[in-house]
Formats: sequence, structure tokens, C-alpha cells
Amino acid sequence: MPALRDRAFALVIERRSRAVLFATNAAAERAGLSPGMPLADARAILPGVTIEPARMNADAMMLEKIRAWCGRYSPWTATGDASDEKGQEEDEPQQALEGPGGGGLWLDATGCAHLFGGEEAMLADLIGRVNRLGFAARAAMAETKGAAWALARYGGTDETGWTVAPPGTVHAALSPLPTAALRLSPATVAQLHAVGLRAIGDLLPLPRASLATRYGAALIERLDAALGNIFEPVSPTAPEQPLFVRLSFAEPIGNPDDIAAALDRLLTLLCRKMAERAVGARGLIFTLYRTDGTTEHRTAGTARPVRDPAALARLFADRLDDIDPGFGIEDATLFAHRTDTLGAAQTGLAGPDAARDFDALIDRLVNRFGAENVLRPRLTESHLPERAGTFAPVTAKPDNADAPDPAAPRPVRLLRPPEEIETIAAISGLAIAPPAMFRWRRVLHRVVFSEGPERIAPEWWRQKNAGTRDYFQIEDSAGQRFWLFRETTDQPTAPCWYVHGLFA
Amino acid sequence: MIPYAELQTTSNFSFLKGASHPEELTARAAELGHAAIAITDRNTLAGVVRAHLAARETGIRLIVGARLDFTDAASLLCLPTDHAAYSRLSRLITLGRRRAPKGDCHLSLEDFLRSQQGQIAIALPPDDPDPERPPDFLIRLAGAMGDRCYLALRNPLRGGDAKRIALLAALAAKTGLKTVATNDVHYHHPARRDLQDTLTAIGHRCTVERAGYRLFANAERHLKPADEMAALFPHHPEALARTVEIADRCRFSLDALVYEYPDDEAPPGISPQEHLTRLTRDGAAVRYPDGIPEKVRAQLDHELRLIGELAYANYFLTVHDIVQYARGQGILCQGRGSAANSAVCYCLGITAVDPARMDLLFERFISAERGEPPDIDVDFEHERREEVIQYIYEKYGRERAGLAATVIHYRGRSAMREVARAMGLSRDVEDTLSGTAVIKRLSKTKDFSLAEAGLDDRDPRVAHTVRLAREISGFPRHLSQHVGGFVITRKRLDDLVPIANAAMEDRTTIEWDKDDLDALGILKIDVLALGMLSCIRKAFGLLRRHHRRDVDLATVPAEDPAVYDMLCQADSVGVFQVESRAQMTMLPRLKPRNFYDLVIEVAIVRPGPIQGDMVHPYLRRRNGEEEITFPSEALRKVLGKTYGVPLFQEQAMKIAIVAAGFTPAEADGLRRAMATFRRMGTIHQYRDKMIRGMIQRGYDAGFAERCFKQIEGFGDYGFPESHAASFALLVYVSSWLKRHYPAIFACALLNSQPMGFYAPAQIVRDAREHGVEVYPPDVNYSRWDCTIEAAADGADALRLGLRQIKGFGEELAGQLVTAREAGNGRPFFDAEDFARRSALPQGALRRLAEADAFGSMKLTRRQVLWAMQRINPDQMPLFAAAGEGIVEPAVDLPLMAPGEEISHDYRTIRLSLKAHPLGLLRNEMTEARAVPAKQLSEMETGAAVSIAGLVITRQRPDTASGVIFATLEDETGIANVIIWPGIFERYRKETLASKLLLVRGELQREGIVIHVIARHLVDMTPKLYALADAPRGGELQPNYPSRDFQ
Repeated sequence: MPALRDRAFALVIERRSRAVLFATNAAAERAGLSPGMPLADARAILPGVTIEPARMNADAMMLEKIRAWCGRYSPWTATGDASDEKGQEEDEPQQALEGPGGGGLWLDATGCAHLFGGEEAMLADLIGRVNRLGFAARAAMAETKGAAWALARYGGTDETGWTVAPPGTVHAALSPLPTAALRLSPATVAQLHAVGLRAIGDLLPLPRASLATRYGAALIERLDAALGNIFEPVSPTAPEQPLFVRLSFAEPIGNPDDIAAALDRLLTLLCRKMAERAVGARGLIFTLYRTDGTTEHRTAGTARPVRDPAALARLFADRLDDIDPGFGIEDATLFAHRTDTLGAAQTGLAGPDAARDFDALIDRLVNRFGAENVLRPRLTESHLPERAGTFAPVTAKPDNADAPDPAAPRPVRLLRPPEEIETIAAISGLAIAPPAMFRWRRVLHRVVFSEGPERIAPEWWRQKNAGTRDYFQIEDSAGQRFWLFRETTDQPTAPCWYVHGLFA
Repeated sequence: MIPYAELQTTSNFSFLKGASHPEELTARAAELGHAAIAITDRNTLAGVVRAHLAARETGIRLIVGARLDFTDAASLLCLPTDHAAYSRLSRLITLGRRRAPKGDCHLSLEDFLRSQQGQIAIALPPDDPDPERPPDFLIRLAGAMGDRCYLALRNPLRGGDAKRIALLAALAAKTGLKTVATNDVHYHHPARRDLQDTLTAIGHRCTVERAGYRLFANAERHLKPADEMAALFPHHPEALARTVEIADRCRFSLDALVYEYPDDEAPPGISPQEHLTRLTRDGAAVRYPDGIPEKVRAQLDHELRLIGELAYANYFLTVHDIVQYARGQGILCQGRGSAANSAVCYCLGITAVDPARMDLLFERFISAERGEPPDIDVDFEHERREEVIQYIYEKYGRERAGLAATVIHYRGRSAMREVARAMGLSRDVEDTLSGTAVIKRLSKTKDFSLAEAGLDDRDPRVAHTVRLAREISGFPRHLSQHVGGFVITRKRLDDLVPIANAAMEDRTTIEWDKDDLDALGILKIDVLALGMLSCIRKAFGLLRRHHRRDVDLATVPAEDPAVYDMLCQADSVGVFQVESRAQMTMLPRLKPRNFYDLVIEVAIVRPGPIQGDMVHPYLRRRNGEEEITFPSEALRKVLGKTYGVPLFQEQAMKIAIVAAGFTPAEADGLRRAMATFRRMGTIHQYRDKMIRGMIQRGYDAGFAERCFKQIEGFGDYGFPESHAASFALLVYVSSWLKRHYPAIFACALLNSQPMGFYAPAQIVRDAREHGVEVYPPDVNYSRWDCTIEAAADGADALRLGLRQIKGFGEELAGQLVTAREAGNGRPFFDAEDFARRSALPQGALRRLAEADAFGSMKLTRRQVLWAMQRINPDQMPLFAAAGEGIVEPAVDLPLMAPGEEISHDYRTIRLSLKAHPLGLLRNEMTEARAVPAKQLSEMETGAAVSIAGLVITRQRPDTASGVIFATLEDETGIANVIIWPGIFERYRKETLASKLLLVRGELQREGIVIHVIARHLVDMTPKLYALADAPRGGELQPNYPSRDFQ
């Protein structure tokens, strides 16, 4: 969000039922805000600060995406190593992301750097690209994992944002760094700090046994790992295969039946793959490759995750006929670009499931007319009759159950908008009475029976100058039943009468 | 005209249901010419006193009642016909409320039927009446109550009403009930519908938009004229007529309630008056061992006669008993309040202000014509008040004693927040709206520009929010407990008013607040908590122990000039009341030389005199710079003691009577209106009346205006002379302790924390400036509390206690001291010895080490920590078995820089005895052209000056229209800084977030009072952190406490 870059902006999390800043941008920091500060204080200092809730999941997902993208540099990539985060308090805002390994990525650059023109060129390229993506980043390359971690976070900063520690220099490079650079828990760092041990170099001359009895074997391990005395591998994340299937034909095909058969085959393969991962398709892209190198796409979406080849095939059913095969089609692929979890399905004993059939119908309608054009009626809680019923896209998840029926009877058919009528004989005295006769759509109706009034006041929070309505159910001499209302406003004009609905 | 009385009304004391004050409902009913009105809130009588007073004013008859909601049946309206029935209703509600958690009431129909005698019950109608199957509820009611039972008919205009009413009438006929018309009123005027909807939404924690069918469909739940009601029930005129019939049957009025003082004290056969006289004479003999002065004897006779005439003896005896109990437990206490400044109270030991020492008028407390009950508040040590409270419950029982309620009202911020939420505004708009800036402007100006506050004025929801928040302001929100006002009765209290559980365990409160009690002439005794009393009691104890000197509040040597000399120099850190910044600037101007000067000193720095602009005229006249004149001869009597300037609350009231022609009852009404003016807005009538009255009697309009302003300022915070006198005594006693026993005073202050205005750092610093040696906390010497040791020269020295160590607990301190004493006084000789003998947990050892509490062993923090880190509690036995010392190679730990030492001191004990951080930073400060605070006294007004220091307080008093007063401290002293609003806006961050602040500005002096008017601020906090050499924001950051905006 470039608009936020220039404004003071902060992310906020709830910590011990208090809102505190989780992260701040440069503008906010210039104004005196810092992570960990209670939101109330931040507002006192900078009333205009823009805030958003911090979303840890989104951060983690973004990091994961960047990791996947880093596959271009090395086959061995990983996000922060879980083993690094032992014993951390989760609610420490700083640590949740920036803690040991938390916000970082590992790349095993062994044998990769030369592809980019050397280690330095590789880091320059990496940082440059990440910056262009809109992220600030720092990188370091070193002989050991620990040293790289330390240098990336605590190493000397220069303009480039990256450092390379040439072989044999790790010792010297690490000595001036603070002990926190050893991926120690904040508690241990604090304990070391308390006795005056601040830099990694301060630890080196001390008896190892004394350190170990006091601060645990982990400290010594970290020290050794960083200095390369013991080996620590990167555990890479296995790349996830996309839900993608391909079919190549020995002879180019062109017959619509062949295309349909190819789709069926692909769907069967895809559904099998989806079953392994317990997901169902929400969006599919079917691509055909012509011999001349051009392609043709058909897409389909579903309201719910689906893994039934036949049901999915129906979504494409009427839309394959107009495919122009050209000189023939040699390849076909099917890609499930959107999926949702879908557990193993249990078929009913009593044969086909009506609800599932209905879902299938909705999917077909939606694929034919578009999601926003297939609606279903919903009751909403409003005393105003015209607002008590609305239509919502059928695919939208209902956020709550339907409202209950209104307490008073409502007509079968509601006129939208209400139609004004001419009335003969109006109110008498204080009591509100319906007209004796009225003219609606040029026909005169004589009232023989009435019930009411039901008084409904406007929704003051959204309507300005709307009047209060008095509703009557009336029956005319022909036995037709109407729902009339009289609207009274603050204006001195005479009240108007309307027909708002018809009863059966 | 058709006679009608509305019998079903829900006021805003049915919280978040009713949308009108009881006063508004009664006033509107009177205006409509109704025969009577019943207030029937949900399972409560909380609003009836207000309704009663309003009804008396407007002349309409009030029917006291309640709507009872049952756990097992439909609801009904319960209207007591006579006093006995009222008491039954009150007890019934008590029963339901005592059973349920706070705010709830659990009643069954069976409970009601046991209390139904003398009640009229109006059953509320079922939604779908079926005459063929009458509900069991109605059958039981009809069977038990016969002709005192009715069925309500309602026409809410929601469709199908005619049919429903007909069915209800049939149902009533079937069950033998009579019908009666009501309108289920929720507000006095239809315009309150919006507010009622909003309240409903707030109650359901949703937005109005989403409240749906939980809102009423229309605006019909208001009080309607009788003819409109008749039009709603064209076929049931009898149901209308019965409203008046019921009103006639309900003869009970709150006026019938008679409050009686508890009479437990006088022994059998002796009248309370005789007993009181005897106790007073006995007490006088103790107070005046050399014989009672004639003046006092006459005063006693006079007071006792008045007390006899007004039959207040039991009241004084009750207070005496409570005070007696406290004294027996060694709990220090002191009475104040109008009745407290009497010779009788002095002799009874309730107060310690010798009437011979000052000349206060006893009459002021009981003006016989007003019939106002006497008023005595008793302050107790804050740490031990709960004992007194439980004694009262124990002695009188829960059914005879209860705490008064405090009605918590919606006020600016809370009103705005909750309405904004109900309107569905986003969080940041809500924050802006409820921000101080907006709230302030809203309260001041009628026409408020939303755009000016950065709000979208096109969003109608914002406008609605502002409008509704204004309306909801002053609405009761919930009942809370009064800080200590007890109501004690002779017979059962729950016959008078329902008693409910408070949120606090072991507390029960009644449903009425202090204004309600006042209005009904019900007596309350305030049992309050005061930190300074704890401090003084501790100081007296230390004085006995270390100096064998036995004094109490009354026997501290009076009128010691040395004490006044000290106060004239504004040397008052830690002293009761006059230690605040405002008081400190007042002391050198007022120059108190005797006890009555202290009384004035206490009273003058209050919102009343400040807003009434009375301070400067008083000072000028006192210093002889202005002629002492009186606006009139009549006022000479009222204002004589204060040079013609009204300073005390009762003087302002007296002016209303003498100069504006108020009756005493009106003056009382005025005072009451002041306390609650935010709620009702009736103040303007009084204002006009007072100013008009004064001008008519020939007073200057400006003077009249100022007098009124002053009364307005008194509001809730008024200080009558007698209160000021009792407080002045504590000022004197604490000053005397500080002047003569600075070490003991500081010690007692530290042991009573938290209290007062200053942090321990300032208290310790002040003690050292007065020559007291202060020793750091040390495991070989300290106890939990701070203690007095002998310095090398034999003077008192102050040893800081382990309580000063942040995060160290009292129990652990006990364990440490026990271990130390178990060693027969053999001191701990090193860290391991200490760890083993004290057997404290690892965390506690670390705390002590970090607090540098091993000085007596010549061990530094780091050495101890390094040693302690090795001691793993889980391995203790093994470690011990291995023969205490696997010899480790010696380790040289880096030494701490002095800056670090100090930073760690601040972090662990919030102060440092080694040096002041500013002392270490002095060179840098000098570079920044900041001068030491001490040098300010040598500079002239108007001089440009820069000063730097730790920010120890920040204040923004309501009376100072946005000005911020900050206090800076450096190694040489304290500097007072004034930050004007314009400067504050420019330097918000510096003002609010700096720990170390550099101020450039201009010096301003008045006598010995010096201020720096800030022009430019610089946040120097990073220098402090650099000193600490600790990572910013981390656990290791030093703690420089400041007391902000109290």
C-alpha cells in the first residue's frame, strides 16, 4: 500500500487484553512510536496515526510465498527453523516475527552462487529483487548457518543491505555482535546482559563449563554452531506440486467428442490427486494447445469444493462445442487453481442426495449466468416490510441464519414501490380509520372490512424525513384483500394513502 | 376530561430499557393532567426517590411500585397500597437481589405470593391470549389476591390489536380478573424513541441497524394524553377508569418512611441523651485535664441542648461506637463533616480539632429549620478500613446496615463510545469522537462543527451519535457502591429500601444514593479511607519505639512556629494535601502562620474558589494590598473571617440566603442541583434566581456572577469549613512530623505507599536534603518495611526496606528475615551462604542481586548474579552434597559504569542513592545550555533559560484550561514547567513520552515561586538509555517513574 508509506502507520496486536503496537513504519518511528508501545500512548503522542490489526497468518503466508519464490536461487530453501524458537513467549510482539529465525528465510547457496556470478552478485540480485517487490530485507552469507543468521540481523549495515563473510572470517565477524545474535532466548540474553556479558566476544574467553552450568548447554551449542565447530544443516521445505494434469495425444485431435473424452480423462486424474490431498476444486482452468502453438481456455467455478468428475464435467458441458480445433490439438491440461478442503465423502444409503443435486443445480446455474446473477431470497430483521426481505448471491456464505418471521401478518405480494391511491372519506376524530373507498389503478374499491392499524415508524438511522405508516388490512366488496397504509410526516401536508400489498 | 393514571412505566433506572429520567416521566404526567403516575422499574426501587421529589414539585401523586420479572412466570406490576405492603415489596426485592449476582434479581412467583398482602398486582398480558386455556399464572394470582389483581390491556398499535384486546378481556372475565389499561411507557415523549432504540442496541451489544425486531416498531411507548388513551380502547372505558381506581387504592407515599437512628448504645434504663451527656463529660475530663475552659463548657452545654432538642443523641452515640471500635483495634481515625466540628465530637474523641483552638460555629451543621440530618464522615487508615466496615456489618447485621449506592452515569466519553458503537461507527471514528478534544468542545459549545474535528459531517450516523450521546449523558448506567457511606437503622433496613449484593465480596448496598437518602432524611455515616492516617499512625509508632515519645492527633504540640516556617518555604513534600504543585505555589503566597491559615490554605486551592476567581482577591486583601470591604453589612457576618471573600462552601450557600433571598430549603436545593447538574440541567433556574436576587438587593452584577461561578465550582468537590479544619489538622500533624522527625516521617510515608503525590524517589531525596542518612536495601539489615537505624552521629537514619524492590514479595521478605534471625544474628557472609540459608527461590535471589542488596558483603550486582546463576534450585541437594564448593576458576566480569549502576538502581528500586542520572549527564546538559535547577533562584523574571531533568509529574488540571504543569528533577533540585496548550500541540510527543526533557523557555517568578514557561521542548530520553547501556524497549530498560495526570 504505497499510500501508507508516507503516513505514520502501525500494526496493532492485543497483548494481555491491551492493544499494543506490533510494528511501525518509518514515519511512525520518526514521530516517536515504537513496537511494544501501548496503543493508547501512541495515540496520545500521534493522534493521527493510522492503525491496522496485525495478522500473523497473513505475514506467515507472505513469507512462505517469498520462500517459494526464492527457489530461483537455490533448491534448498526454508523459512525460520522451528527448532530455533523453543521457549519463546508467543505474545512478545518483537519475537513473534523478528525473533530467532522467525521472520527469516534460509537458502543453501552451496554450488548455486556461481550461477549468478558469485556470492556477492547473488545477494545483490536477491536483495534488489526483494526490494522491488516492496519489502525491506537484509541478507548475509557465511560458512555457518548461525553466522549467517547473526550477520543478517546484527551485522554492520551498509547501503546494500547484504554482507558476505569470506571463509575464515566468521570468528572476527561475530565477536562484536551482541549475544542475541546467537539465537538465544530473550531470557538468556537478559541474564548474560545482567552480568555484563553483552557481545559474543565477551563469552569467548570464559570457561565453557562455567557458562554451561549457568546458562545451559544450549548456549555453548549455539556458540559452536555459529563458529562452525559443529555442523548444522538447512532443512528445506519440499516444494508443493500444483494440482495440474496433462494429456498429450499421439495424433492431434479435433472432434468435440474427443475433446470431451480428454476432459473426462483429465478430470478423473485430477480428482484422484485431489482425493489424496483431501481437497475439492473451486476453480478449474482447462487449456487446449493447438499444433500451431496457440491455446484455448475454458474456466469453471463452483460454489463448494467438488471432487466428482461427472459433476465437474457438467460445468463444461455446453461450453466445449464452440472450440475451434484449428489444425488439431496436441496437448490438453487441467489445473485446479482454487481448492478448498473436502473430506472423504460418504454416500447416502437412500440413493442420490437431494441437497447435493440442488448444489449441483446451483453450480450449473452459476456457471451459466455468473455468480452475482443467481440469487436467493432471505429474511432480514426489519420492521419495514420492504426491507424485511432481500436477495443475496446464492454463493455468498450466509453470515447468520435467516431472521424470524415478522410477528404481524404480511401480504403474499408486496408492491415495490407502494402505489399511491385516491381515497374517499378519511380519518374521523382521533381514531385512525381506513378510507371508505379508494381508487387504485383506476378501479374504485369499496371497503367492507378492515383491521388495524399497525403503526410502523421509519428507520430513523437511515431515513431522513420519512413518515410513520399506519397499515390496514382491508377487504373490498369484491372480496379482494389489500394492504393499505397511510403515511404521516412532520410536514404539514395531508397524509397520503398507498397500496403496499395484496393478500391472497 | 377523562381521568387516567399511567401505571406501567419503565424509567432509565431499568438500565438500558427506559429512555427517560423518572423526573421527566412525572413532570410529563403532571403536564398531561394525569391523576397519578406509577414508576414501575424492573425489580428495583432505585428511581422512586427522584420520582417522588419531582412529583412533589409538580404536584402529581406518585405511586411507588415495581415491575417484578420472575424466573418461573410472566411479569406483573406490583403496587403497594400501604406502608406495610411497601416494606414487604422492599424485602421481596432484597430477597431476589441477595440471591443473585450483582445487577440481577432471582424471584419466583411463590416468593411474590408470600408477600402479596396489601399489594395490587397487574398481570402483564400474554402475547397470544386464549380465553379457553387461561395460564396457570393468572389462575394462581386471582386465587391468592382476589380483587387486588388485574390484567393489563395494551394497545401498542402493532396490528391485530382489537382482536387481542377482545381476547384479553375474555381471558380476564374467565379468570375473574379485572382489566386495566396501560401503555407500557418507556419514555416520556415520542422524541425519545431514537434514544430508546439506541439503548436497546447497547443492551444487546449490537448496532441499531442489526437490532431488528428487538426494537419497538413505532414510537408509541410514551405518556399519552387521556383522550388519546381512550381512543385506543374505544370498547373498554372501564379499563381506563380502573387506572384511577387503582391509584386511589395505593395510598402509600415515601413521605411516610420514618428513619430512626439505631439505639443500641445507651445501656438499659438510661436515655440516649443522658448517656451521651455522660460520655461527653467523661471525655472532656480527659481532653482538658487542667479543667474545662469556660468557653468550651458553655459550648458543650449549648450543643448538648441542641442535640437533645433534635433527638440526635443516638446518632452521635453510633458514630462514637464505631470510632471506639477502631481505637480499640489501634486504627487511627478522624471525623470530619459539619457535625464533626463540635465540642461534643472533640470530647467523644471523634475529632481532634480542639474547639478552643478555633472558632467554628456548631449551628452551621444543624439548621433546625431545614431538618437536615447531621453529617459526620470518619476517615480511617486506608489499609485497615475494611476491618471497620466488617465490624459494622457484624454488629448490625446485613438487614440493618448497608452501603449507600452510587449511581454511575453516562458521561461524555462513555456516552460517546457506547452510542458510537450502537451506531456502527468504525473504531477510529469512535476514538476520535470520544477523544478529549471532541468531548471538551461538545460540552462547551452548542454548535459543534464535526468537520473541524476531522469527522465526516455527511455521515448521518456521526450526527446521530453526537446528538444521542448528548441525550444519554446523565443517564444512570449502573449502581455502584458509595465509597463508604453506611446507612444503619434501628429496625430492619430492608423495610426501607431494597438491599443488593455489591460487586465486591462481602459488601451489600442499598438501592439509593446519597442524594436520595438526604432527600428522605435518612442518615448515613461515611466510613472513608485515608492514606495519610496510615502514615501518621506508623510515624507515631516509630516515635514511641525510637524516641519514647507518645503523641496522638490531639496532643501533637500545637502552633509550633518552626512548622509554619517550613510551610512558608513550600517545603512540603509528603505533607498531607499541601504537597501538590498548586498548593506548593500557594504556600509562599499565603504564608500560613497559624492553624486557621492552614484551614484556608486547604480550602482555597479547590475548584470552587479558583473558578469563582476568589483566590487573588483573598491574597491581596490578606497581604494588605487591597482594602477589606464587604459587599453589604449583612454579608460582613458571613464573610468576616475571610476578609470579605467567600472561600468555603457554606459561605457561598449563606450568600444565596442572605444576599439573594433564597430560603434555606432553596439554598439546599441549589447545592443539590450543583452536585447533579450534569444530569438534569435545572441549574439555570437557580442561576437566574440568584443573580437576579442579588442585583435586586443592590449587589454588583460581577460579584453575583462570581459567587455563582464559585458555587458551580464546588459541585461535588465543595469544601465546607469543618472539612477543611479536619484536613488542616492532618496537614499540621504531618508537617510537624516532617519538621522534627524527617527520617521517621519519610519512613512512615514509604511504608504507606501507594499514597500521596510523590514517588519514593522524591520522598527519599527530600529526606536526604533534610539531612537524613538513607541506606540502601540490604539482605543483612532490611526488613520488609523501611526501618529507622542509628546513623554514625546517633541521628535517625532511614534504612530502605525490601518493599522498595520491584517484584519482591512480602512473604519472601518474611522468609528472609526469619532465616536471618534463625542464624542468631550471624550475618550472611556470601552469596552462596545467603542462598542456602534463606532458601529463597531463584527468581527472588535474582531480584535481590539486581537490586544491589548485598552491599554489606561488598559484592557487586554482577558478582552476585554470576554466583546465583550457578545455584540451580533443582540441584540444591546434590550441590550441597558435593561439598559446597566445586572450585571454579575465578572470572573477571566487566565492571559496571556508574551510569549503568544508577540505571539499574532505578530499574530495581525506582531510585538511586548513588547519584542522580542528571549528575552524570551534567556535561552534556551544560553543552545543551541547560542550567541546574538550583540556579533558577538566582535568575530574574523574563530571563531566557534552559533546564533539563527527569519528568517526575505531568498534570493537566481541569481548572487550568488545557495548560500542562510538568515537574522536572535534576541532581540539584526541582523545576516547575508550564506548557501552554499551543506549545503542547506542537510538542505532543516530547511532552507526553519524554523521561528526560530539555525545556527552553522563559523564567517567571513570584516571590520564591519559580516557573519556566516552555517555548521549545527536546526529548533527551536517549541520553538516559545511553547511560544505561540497555537496549531500548527491552526488559533491561531503567524505570524512571513519573506520576501523570492524577
